[in-house]
Amino acid sequence: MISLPIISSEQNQHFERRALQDAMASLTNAFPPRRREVPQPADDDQVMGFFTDTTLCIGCKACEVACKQWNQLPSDGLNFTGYSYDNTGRLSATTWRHVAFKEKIAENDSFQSRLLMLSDVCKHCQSAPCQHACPTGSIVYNQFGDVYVQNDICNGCGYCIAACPFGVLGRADEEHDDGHAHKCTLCMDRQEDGLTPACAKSCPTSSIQFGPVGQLREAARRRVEKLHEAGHDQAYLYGCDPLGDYGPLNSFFLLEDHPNEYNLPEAPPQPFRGQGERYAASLAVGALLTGLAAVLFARKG
Amino acid sequence: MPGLGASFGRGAATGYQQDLANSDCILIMGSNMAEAHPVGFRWPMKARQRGATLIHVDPRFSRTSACCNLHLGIRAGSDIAFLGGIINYLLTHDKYFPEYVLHYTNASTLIAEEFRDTEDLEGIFSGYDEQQRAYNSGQGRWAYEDSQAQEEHVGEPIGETAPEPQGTGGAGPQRAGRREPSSAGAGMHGPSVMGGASTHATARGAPTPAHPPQDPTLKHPRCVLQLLKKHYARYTPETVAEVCGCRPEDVVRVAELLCANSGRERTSAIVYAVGWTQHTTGVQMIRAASIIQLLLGNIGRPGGGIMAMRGHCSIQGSTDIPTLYDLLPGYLPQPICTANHEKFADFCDQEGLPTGYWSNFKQFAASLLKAWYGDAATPQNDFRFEWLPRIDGDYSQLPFFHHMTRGRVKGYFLFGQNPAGGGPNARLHRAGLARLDWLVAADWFEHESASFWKNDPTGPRPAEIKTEVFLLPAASILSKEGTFTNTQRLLQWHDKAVVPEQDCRSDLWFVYNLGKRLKQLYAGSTRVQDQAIQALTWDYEYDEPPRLPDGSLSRIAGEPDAAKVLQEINGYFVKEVDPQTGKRKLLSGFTDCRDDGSTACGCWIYSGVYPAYDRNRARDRRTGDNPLQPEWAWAWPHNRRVMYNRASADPEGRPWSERKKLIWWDETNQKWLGFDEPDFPPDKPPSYRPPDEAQGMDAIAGDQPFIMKPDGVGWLFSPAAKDGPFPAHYEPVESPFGNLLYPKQNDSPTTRYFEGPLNLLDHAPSRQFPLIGCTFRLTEHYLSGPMSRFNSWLNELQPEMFVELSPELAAERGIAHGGWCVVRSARGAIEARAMVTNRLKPLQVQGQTVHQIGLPFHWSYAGESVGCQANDLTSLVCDPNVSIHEAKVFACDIAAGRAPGLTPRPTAPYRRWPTQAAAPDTSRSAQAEGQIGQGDCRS
Amino acid sequence: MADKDAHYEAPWTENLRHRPDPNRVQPLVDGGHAAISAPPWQSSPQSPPGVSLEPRRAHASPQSETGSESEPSYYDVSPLKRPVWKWQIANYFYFGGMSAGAYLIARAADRAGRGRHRAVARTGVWVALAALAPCPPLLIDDLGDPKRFHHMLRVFKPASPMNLGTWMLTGYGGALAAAAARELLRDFGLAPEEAPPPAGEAAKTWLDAHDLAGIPLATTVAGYTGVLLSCTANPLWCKNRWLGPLFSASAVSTGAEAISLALDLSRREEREEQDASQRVLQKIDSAAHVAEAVCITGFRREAGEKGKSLEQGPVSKVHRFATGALIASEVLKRLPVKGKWRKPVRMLAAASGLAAGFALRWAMVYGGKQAADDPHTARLVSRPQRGELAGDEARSSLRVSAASGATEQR
Ligand SMILES: Nc1nc2c(c(=O)[nH]1)N[C@H]1C(S)=C(S)[C@@H](COP(=O)(O)OP(=O)(O)OC[C@H]3O[C@@H](n4cnc5c(=O)[nH]c(N)nc54)[C@H](O)[C@@H]3O)O[C@H]1N2
Ligand SMILES: Nc1nc2c(c(=O)[nH]1)N[C@H]1C(S)=C(S)[C@@H](COP(=O)(O)OP(=O)(O)OC[C@H]3O[C@@H](n4cnc5c(=O)[nH]c(N)nc54)[C@H](O)[C@@H]3O)O[C@H]1N2
Ligand code: SF4
Ligand code: SF4
Ligand code: SF4
Ligand code: SF4
Ligand code: SF4
Ligand SMILES: [Mo]
Repeated sequence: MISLPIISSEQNQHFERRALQDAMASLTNAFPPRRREVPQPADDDQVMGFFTDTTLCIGCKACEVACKQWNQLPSDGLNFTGYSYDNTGRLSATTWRHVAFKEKIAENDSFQSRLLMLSDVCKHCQSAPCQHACPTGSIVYNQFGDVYVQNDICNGCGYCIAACPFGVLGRADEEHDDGHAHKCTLCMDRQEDGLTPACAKSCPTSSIQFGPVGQLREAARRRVEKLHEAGHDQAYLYGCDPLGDYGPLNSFFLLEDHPNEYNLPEAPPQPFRGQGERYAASLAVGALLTGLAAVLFARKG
Repeated sequence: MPGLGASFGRGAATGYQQDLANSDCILIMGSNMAEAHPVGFRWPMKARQRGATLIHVDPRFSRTSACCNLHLGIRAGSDIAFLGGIINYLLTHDKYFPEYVLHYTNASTLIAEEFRDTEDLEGIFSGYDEQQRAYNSGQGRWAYEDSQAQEEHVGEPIGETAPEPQGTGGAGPQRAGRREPSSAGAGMHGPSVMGGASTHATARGAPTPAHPPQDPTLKHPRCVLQLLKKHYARYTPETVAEVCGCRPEDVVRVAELLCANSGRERTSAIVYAVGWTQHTTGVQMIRAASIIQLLLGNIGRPGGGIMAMRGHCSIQGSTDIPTLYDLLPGYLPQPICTANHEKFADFCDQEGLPTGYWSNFKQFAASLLKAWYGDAATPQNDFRFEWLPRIDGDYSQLPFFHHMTRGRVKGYFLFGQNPAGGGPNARLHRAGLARLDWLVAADWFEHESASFWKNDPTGPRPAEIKTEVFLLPAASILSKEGTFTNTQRLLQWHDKAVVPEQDCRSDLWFVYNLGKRLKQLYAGSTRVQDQAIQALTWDYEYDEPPRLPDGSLSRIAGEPDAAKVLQEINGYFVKEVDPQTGKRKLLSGFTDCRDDGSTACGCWIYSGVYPAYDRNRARDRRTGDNPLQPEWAWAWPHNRRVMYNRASADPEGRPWSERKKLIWWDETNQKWLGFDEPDFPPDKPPSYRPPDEAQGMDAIAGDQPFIMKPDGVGWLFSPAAKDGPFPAHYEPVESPFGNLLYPKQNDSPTTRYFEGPLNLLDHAPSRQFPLIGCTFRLTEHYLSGPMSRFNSWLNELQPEMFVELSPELAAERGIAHGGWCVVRSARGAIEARAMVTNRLKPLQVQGQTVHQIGLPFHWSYAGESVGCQANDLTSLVCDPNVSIHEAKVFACDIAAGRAPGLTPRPTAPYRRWPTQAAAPDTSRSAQAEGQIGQGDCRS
Repeated sequence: MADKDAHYEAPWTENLRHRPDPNRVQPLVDGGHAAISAPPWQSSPQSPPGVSLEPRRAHASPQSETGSESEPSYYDVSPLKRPVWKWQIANYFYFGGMSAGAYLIARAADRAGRGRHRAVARTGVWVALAALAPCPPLLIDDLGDPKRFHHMLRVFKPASPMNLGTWMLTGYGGALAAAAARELLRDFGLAPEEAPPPAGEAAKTWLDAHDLAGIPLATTVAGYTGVLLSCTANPLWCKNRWLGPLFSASAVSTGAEAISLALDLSRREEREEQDASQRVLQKIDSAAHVAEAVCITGFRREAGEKGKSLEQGPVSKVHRFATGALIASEVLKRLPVKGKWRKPVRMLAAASGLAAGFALRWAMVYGGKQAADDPHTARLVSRPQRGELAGDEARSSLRVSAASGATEQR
């Protein structure tokens, strides 16, 4: 059994038969699961990641549906957004793959029109702010080097949501669902069983490629070179190398336009950089004022 | 399909989808392949990755356009003009493949002197009968020189007297129809167009000579190439651009790209789907593409060909073993009451051909009858040929529903079809259903056709509908077994994984048990007309109780053995015994078929799929080094993956080029060798020349690749289509424009109309409805929607019915993006969300600005996500060949606002989880820090 | 892992991988296939033919070329998630800070005041305790899964300000409880350090140790919330160096005000001693206010355009109120009132200061929500500084062309 990411009351009824198991689960739940060492991959050839090549995406959303199906995520409701063919809008606690559509239609030369399509997902940052932030240790780097939210530990504090510079994480509804933070698991359960993640498996054109990131990065660079040779000089890799301040991504992209067109941050901030300084400043002011208070109290007056 | 059959001999895609990866250039036109065939689209993407050029010509800029190197927007329904422009370019610039054209096509053949082209008769060909609105190709002499003229049969119209009122169809303007249905004879598929045996080319008595008079210099004014040149002389880039609404340079650009990527070293492919077929001129669009591919020498070669992207998973199968009223399995024609089809011998003489592969017609037909009637069928009693029903009118779907609205049909079986949503002019279809006495629908869902009597917001009150509706729960794909025949003729067997839930049963179960009960019912009858049912072989019981993959016994009683059905389709020797099993020996292929009653074969083209009882080749799933993967399932005919592949070698049998070699003549072994099964007699040398009086396959020379054709070559000039031997541009039935190329003839002269109060038309040039509407598919939904609109994972991706329109049009009509608008046509009105997008562009056509709008046809009133349906706007008109409708173009108008009273209400509640199953179990927990015991911690 | 390796190595052949067929009986005996490894058209690349094709480019549409608002974007969807924290968190920030501030002042008064400011020391502890009391419920209630609040202490992870904060808060809670217990004992005349030696001595050492731990803990609690906010990708907060100091200063000021108010509320009559204490408290308060003013200016300057959300929407009112109340508090303190008005005005000044601190937390928390919701602001936080990105030139040229090509829908 794997952890059920999100369970609604609706679904709970379906599990009534397993009430006993439920009771056991909540009993064990009363004690915080203790921490164990997670074996870490030795090098880039053991870290598994994604290379999403937007020039190969045909916008079929197979990845989005495969992810929902495999992970049993609920539908987000019927909302017509008008964002071209995108009606889910963004990643969320219940949408871990999201296909973005951006129309760039030429005024005169119909040969030049484009429709940008990108299958967005958690970037599995090598230095992930969400992981830094997580106070419960729910977010870990798993044995495949992927950023993983342990659903039985997360208590829904929401820090990771604010920390992620890509707006990936979301918190499931507290009323109806479990109230925990959720995002792509990089199909850790499938990986453990030697399977390709559901989204990559279902991608008909290999726009989503899955593999050891070391090899993926090489392949990605070759692909960009090829595209440049063919005259597509706008193609570039996003997150293959560090994005300025921000470490490289284990789930990186090949883009053909400005990152913001795909709703990706241009240079994601690394909010934990300079954390020490900020603590120092804060403590200093606190100490200073306390000291001042002491001086004032000490004065006869 | 018919366009392909008429050109090459078989009505199916010429190659296989994976082969698109080997193309140097792919023209996708009339297809939205990335959206409708996303999985197959990996191969064009692969080609693109390897440097090929992908071109999409489509009225709308879609996801497919985005994936192609270039997209060209044209006016819907102007495709023949565009393709004609390319043909014109090829011919005027001498860019065709001369050796290929000379040897492998009928370019050099001389055409009868009496034949008249559209150029001569201002838009019609010779032989036109204005009364019948049909051609008599015999009279019009659409024939090779030297062949004799003979009367062409034209079917009798179905008893069509005074127009009766149409059904209880609901609201809508009542207007008297202008034209009543025309001849019923037109509209039958006819084996010729589907790639069947007979041809309209010539008189039956003196069929097309295998070696008709020719002019190898291609100079003779009556040779096909010169006629073609003349026919397309006025399709200049400028004229074409005027008609299509593009720029002349665009036409030239596409033509240049195709030329630069064709020839000995390179090949181009053309991909089409229903963006072409669903037109009154659809068959001719495909014909035009065939002409281009023949001229460029792209047929039968790797990376070449014409890929027809068929729709449903086994739609190819449903024409091979047809669900059509006028065909028998394997493209044998259904006998017709007005033709000389009394005796079996006459039938075979009439419909078979003396030369080419169809000379085996009698073997195939006899084996079919033997399979159906078993011991009752013998050579002495003509195999009981008289038991086959004779066609006396057009019973294809659309005319049939037309009759239904007039109350002429009592009952109807619907197996996996939803005409109330997917049928063009769906309101007419619903009105038809409402006049039935009973309707049996076997389906997975309570779809529109099963719930029309209560949920249709446009329909009458339930109390007014007398139809008794029976909804039978059909088993899902996972709980039944059988084959699919996909778009590349590949038969793939799938096993049953689980038993059907509750009362669900497979379609095979329903049909088999229905048949058993009918046989029971008629068992004691002595009437002649019941003998066929009595004699019908109907024994597909399992030998042993069927088991599921996990070894458990199935709880379903009476389930027939699908493998036995496939074995009968494959065929068997009636007398010979298989030594291993003691059962009747199975045929190894259609070459085993005999006409002496010793063989039975349910569908000759499928013969070979089950050559031995332990060998179901449709079940093969082996891959190897051969990129054609011949051991992955089985393709008809005879596992040939690229049809007409003899054309991949030059007349001498050498590959046209090293880069594009597929099969070749091996001198040492005296055999055709290569990657594919040769679609040619395997040991006929290229040098073979038939003796003068040769018959059958002996009449086909060693350098004639199109063995299904009596003269062994591809047909640039094809009399097989009922609307002309050459494609000519006609405007759609509802078009805002006149025909620039043939001003006297707007619509196709053979279009069949079914006008009536429920099917009003706004004939071209349309004035009342100035916009061009075209319908299309979205990846996220499936057809009329029952299979997708009950699923919230899909519904969230495309939650509402919308209309795509350009910002210019939106501004003109005051329509806001995302807001509501109402679309009207002569048939009705619908409301939808407005998707204002630059992907649609106003076009300049004949000096006028015209707007096109696009409507997905996936929504209707049953399901979790519901909406008004595009098919309430489309019309019922039929092309003469296959009775296809024109859902891809209609005249309409659009306004901001809503259409009160038309908004449907969901019939199923919104469910966040479309499946109730738990998350899939995997063998280990997904817990990074170990199994902590709350694998499924639920709060 | 064969599966994924194959997928990665040769994506195109993935679906062709052999799957054993259990029902396969005999091998294929098909003649006719030449034994040739791969046909040439399989391997040869499709080099472009004579006709050239330009690649599609980000395209410039004429009307949008000049418009500065044609910034590349994805419709009007914000690239960031709105923080899920609600009113509980704003309140916690306030009360937690106030508690720590009060505690610090109380301890300072106790240790430095040499008995003169006993009231401050005593009241301060009680104020700190009262202010701390609502914090755990507030924090727990804000969790998505409140019954898992204890998971916060499952690990000690100082890298995470929230984890560190929780530990600090717990520790501080302990220190505070101990202090309160001592005050209680003292109220009953049982002050431990006044006990006869050696117990008194021991108690004194213990008190030193207690303060040695408690004061740093309280200092951290006072300001970590600001650091916590600054360790997010939120445009308003992200990496802002002034947030921590700002919250620290505000903690001290609100602590002082709370004590002042508590003192005034608890004693009917003015006493000389108390008046002195109040004066000191007011000075501390003013000093903290000055620090706050400096910090907020620094904050606004550092945030630049990203700080706009403090001036927009409902948050702008709260923010303006905070500033106003702060100034009002300072003005009220300095009003030359005498006699019976003194106390009410002092109380009013304290209350006003408290309101300012309260509004400040709300403005900060809700300003962050507002900032994340605004797509433009949310993009600003990831605008590269010059030279920050590796392939900067390439990308900046891209930015130009893309910026001019944005044809927005909606
Ligand atoms: N996801 C999904 N896949 C499907 C289906 C589905 O419903 N959903 N249906 C299946 C079935 S049954 C079928 S038949 C196939 C159909 O597959 P397609 O034919 O590819 O599907 P459509 O989108 O209906 O039409 C194709 C394109 O034709 C364009 N078009 C319309 N009129 C014209 C015209 O006059 N000329 C040209 N050149 N183009 C025109 C439309 O703009 C559209 O982009 O798809 C199959 N696959
Ligand atoms: N305007 C417009 N109209 C069109 C088209 C268009 O492009 N534009 N396209 C046309 C085309 S190409 C097509 S193919 C038609 C399609 O139209 P339909 O043939 O009506 O197709 P569906 O709507 O998919 O209906 C199929 C039904 O079969 C059920 N079903 C699925 N599997 C099984 C099964 O195994 N057994 C049984 N018994 N039932 C099953 C499904 O639940 C569904 O209700 O629509 C046509 N209509
Ligand atoms: S993208 Fe966001 S959620 Fe994913 S690893 Fe990086 S910081 Fe965490
Ligand atoms: S919400 Fe859950 S995963 Fe995110 S930081 Fe809090 S405890 Fe960690
Ligand atoms: S890897 Fe798995 S969880 Fe992540 S997006 Fe893909 S399918 Fe969803
Ligand atoms: S499955 Fe692949 S091609 Fe389809 S939308 Fe996802 S990434 Fe794009
Ligand atoms: S629905 Fe099935 S047949 Fe259609 S593209 Fe997807 S996988 Fe292929
Ligand atoms: Mo179809």
